[in-house]
Amino acid sequence: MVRTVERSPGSQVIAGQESSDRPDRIALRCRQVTKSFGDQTTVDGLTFNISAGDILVLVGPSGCGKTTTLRLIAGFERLDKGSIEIAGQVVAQEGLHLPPEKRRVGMVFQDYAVFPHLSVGGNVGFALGKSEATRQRVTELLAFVGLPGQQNRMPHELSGGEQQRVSLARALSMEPAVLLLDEPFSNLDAALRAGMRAEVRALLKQSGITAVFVTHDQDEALLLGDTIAVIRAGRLEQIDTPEAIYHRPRSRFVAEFIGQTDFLPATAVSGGLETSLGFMARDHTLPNGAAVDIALRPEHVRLQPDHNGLGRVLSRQFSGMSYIYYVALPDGSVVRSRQVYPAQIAEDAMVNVDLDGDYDLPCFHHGIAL
Amino acid sequence: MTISELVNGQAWGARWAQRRQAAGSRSFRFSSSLPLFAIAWVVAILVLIVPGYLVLRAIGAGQETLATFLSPRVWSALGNTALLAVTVVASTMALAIPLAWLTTSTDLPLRRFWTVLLTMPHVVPSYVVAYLYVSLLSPRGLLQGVLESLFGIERLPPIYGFPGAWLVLTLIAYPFTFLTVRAALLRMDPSLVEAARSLGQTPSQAFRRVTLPYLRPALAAGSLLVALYCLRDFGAVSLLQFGTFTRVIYNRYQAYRLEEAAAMALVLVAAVGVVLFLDFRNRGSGHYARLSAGCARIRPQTRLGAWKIPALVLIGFVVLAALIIPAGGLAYWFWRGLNQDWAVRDLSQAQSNLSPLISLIRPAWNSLVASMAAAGLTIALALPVAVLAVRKPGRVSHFLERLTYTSAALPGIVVALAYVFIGINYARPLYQTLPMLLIGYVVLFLPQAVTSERSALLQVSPSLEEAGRSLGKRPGHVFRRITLPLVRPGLSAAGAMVFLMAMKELPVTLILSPIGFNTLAVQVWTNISEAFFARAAAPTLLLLMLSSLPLALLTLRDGKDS
Repeated sequence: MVRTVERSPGSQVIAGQESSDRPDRIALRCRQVTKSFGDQTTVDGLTFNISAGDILVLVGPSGCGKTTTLRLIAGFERLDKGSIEIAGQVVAQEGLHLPPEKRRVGMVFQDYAVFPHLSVGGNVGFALGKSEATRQRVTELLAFVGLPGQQNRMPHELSGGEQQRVSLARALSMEPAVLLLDEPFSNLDAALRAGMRAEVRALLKQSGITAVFVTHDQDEALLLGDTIAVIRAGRLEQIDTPEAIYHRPRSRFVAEFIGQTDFLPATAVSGGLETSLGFMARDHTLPNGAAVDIALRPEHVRLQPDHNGLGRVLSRQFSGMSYIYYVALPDGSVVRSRQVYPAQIAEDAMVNVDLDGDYDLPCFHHGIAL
Repeated sequence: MTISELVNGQAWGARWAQRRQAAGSRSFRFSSSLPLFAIAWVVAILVLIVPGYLVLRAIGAGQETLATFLSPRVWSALGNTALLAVTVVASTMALAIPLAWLTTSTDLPLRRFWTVLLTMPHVVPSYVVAYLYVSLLSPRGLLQGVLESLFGIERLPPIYGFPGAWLVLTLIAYPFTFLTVRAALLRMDPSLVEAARSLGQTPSQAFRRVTLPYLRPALAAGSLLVALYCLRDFGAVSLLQFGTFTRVIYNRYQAYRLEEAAAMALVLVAAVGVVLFLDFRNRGSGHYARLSAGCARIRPQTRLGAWKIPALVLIGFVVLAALIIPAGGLAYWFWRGLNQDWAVRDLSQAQSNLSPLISLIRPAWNSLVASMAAAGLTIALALPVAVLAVRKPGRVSHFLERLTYTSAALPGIVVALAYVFIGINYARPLYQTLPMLLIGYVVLFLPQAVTSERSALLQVSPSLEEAGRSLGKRPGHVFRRITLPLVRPGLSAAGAMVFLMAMKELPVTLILSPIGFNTLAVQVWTNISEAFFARAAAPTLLLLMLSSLPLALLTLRDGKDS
């Protein structure tokens, strides 16, 4: 679905971005941003920066405050404490609230918010006024988002994916310093969603725009973000590259939220960890006997049929390219294992469980990574 | 701002930052909502003045008020009013459920046609239907004349009093319940009934156990409107001489027993308040569960088979009683009127045949001007209340919205009385002027305007407005270019409704109009209350045509759009 475009026309369509010449420049800076509704603190001291041209994804379970964060950046909510800076200008702090129309933020809404009484052209040109230049620019923007020549169609004639494109073109029309996208794919059906994710990311990268996505979908977060911020109960749990978030989660919460993760209980002993599967070498500074959880992803658990094995296969799920086995361990915990080979292991069979020795398995003590 | 903040100066710094920023940008919280709150408060005061003044007046009268409260007149009015409201609610429900079901869920022929006909009595003023039934069924009316020539019957049992009031109000008010039940049936997910059927219920069991409970909120909403209509009605009960509150209050007012009228108006307001409270408590916090969006499905229709004939008989009977008989009577009296006046001309003055029609131009013009002004003013004044309620929910805006709804508890006669007193005593320059009449209309029609504007605004997703803001446009600009175009159909519908009600409105027009400001409604009323049935026909006809014009135009336009 990613359209191949020779030499990113986006950088011409979306002018005014400082991404290519000054990659280190901070486009958005949030410092200790805090917001309460009543006695409920929804956003609790969030601090993060985004470099110009980067895509940040705010991800977390529903109700964690990620959408409120987005609305604070956009100016639809007033913050209680902290400050927000867009392209070097303070737009919000205690006692200061720049209204949304002054902030140079573009927003793509969950329901797209395409103005139903205006044509596609009227929507995309809404911010621009009436002129020949506007018409020209609307034409460019529509071509850019893959709706060339559709100015005169009305929103009710458009599919969900097309409305999304209109919404994106409209948000890009005023050359925002930051583009905010609030769960933009959640209203699309699964088949369309995968294509639109890849396409929107490609478009954003072409245009060099700074973008903040909000999603509760971890797959989407990994796929879209240059940087991912995992939020839990209004606090930043970890902000990192997608790879670091996946492979080096800093807390048990992040490990559990991102990817399919099981936890194997272990006990600290000198030079390693003792589990029901045996000893695992691992450097640590914990006292002997401290409780540790080892995060296991299905691809790091290997199975070998063995009558004397310690694990017992409870069930298996076929997902086309692989099987997921649910394996009960001697200590009663259940872990998943992904096997890409044709089914070889029957349910109820005993297996030898082996952990990927080359992989640095994340371990947590009291929920914090070792 | 606390003392400590003042001392350490941080707040001042923030203030200055805000000031500097304000040079380039206005803080939107204040710029956009301050005028809205101001207008909404003015509206609220216009409403609050009515019960407030009546209470003050009643307290001022002291002994006399107490005597009025305890007088048998109040108790009989209370009894009559309650009797009328309860029986009319029951009969309208009994009519509305089968009619709504037949026109939505069966294969009855010409369902759209019947629906239109069944809705039409809704727009006819109650005094018009009452007048036509009186002229037809009174002991020495038209029917008696026919029967006398055929069978020699010299007197019919009286239509006056309860039977007539009950009949007329049922025929006018059933469309309220019909429409709410119909809407609920159309909204209902057909799979609910299908689920019941798949669980082994027969069609009639499914209707009783699934459909009827589902309709309960709609029945309650429709019945509330019917009950309020009965409590507030003035025209029909006056003509039919049934002593409910409105009639008794007007009689007291005409007899210059103003203190007594004010005290009784208070009792009426309390009674309406009780009805509204019961409805509020009955509804509780139970919102209608919204059904899954899904695709619109073709509604499965019950095949009536041989039951079509009794179904058509029922509908035909209602249409006959509520529409055809009044229309026929009106046509008859119109024709009589033309001839009569022609005969009068021969005897007395040299006027053209059309002179009675020409003499209606002035009242028609007055009606149009007053009603159009009322419509414009009401939707304009209701808009801030609706916008605040939908977009700035909070204690104050909620209170203001509630307050405008409470004016639904103020019957026209009460509003008129309160403003007459205020005009005489405190606002002499406004007394008997057009602005005073318009204030009366605004207070009276505010709830309808706020309700429909509120639901129109709720249709507009806030994210549309936020999208406009994020595209660099000020709140005012966004309201003009996004919100207003989207709510315009709702506003026009509200305006057309207010126009229609203002055209028909009797007590407020009778009491608050400037002297000599003759409207069509007043013209009709004067003629029928003096039993000049023939002379009342022409203004009635004109009133009906003009008052439903905007609504008809809207309906036609909507039909074209979809």
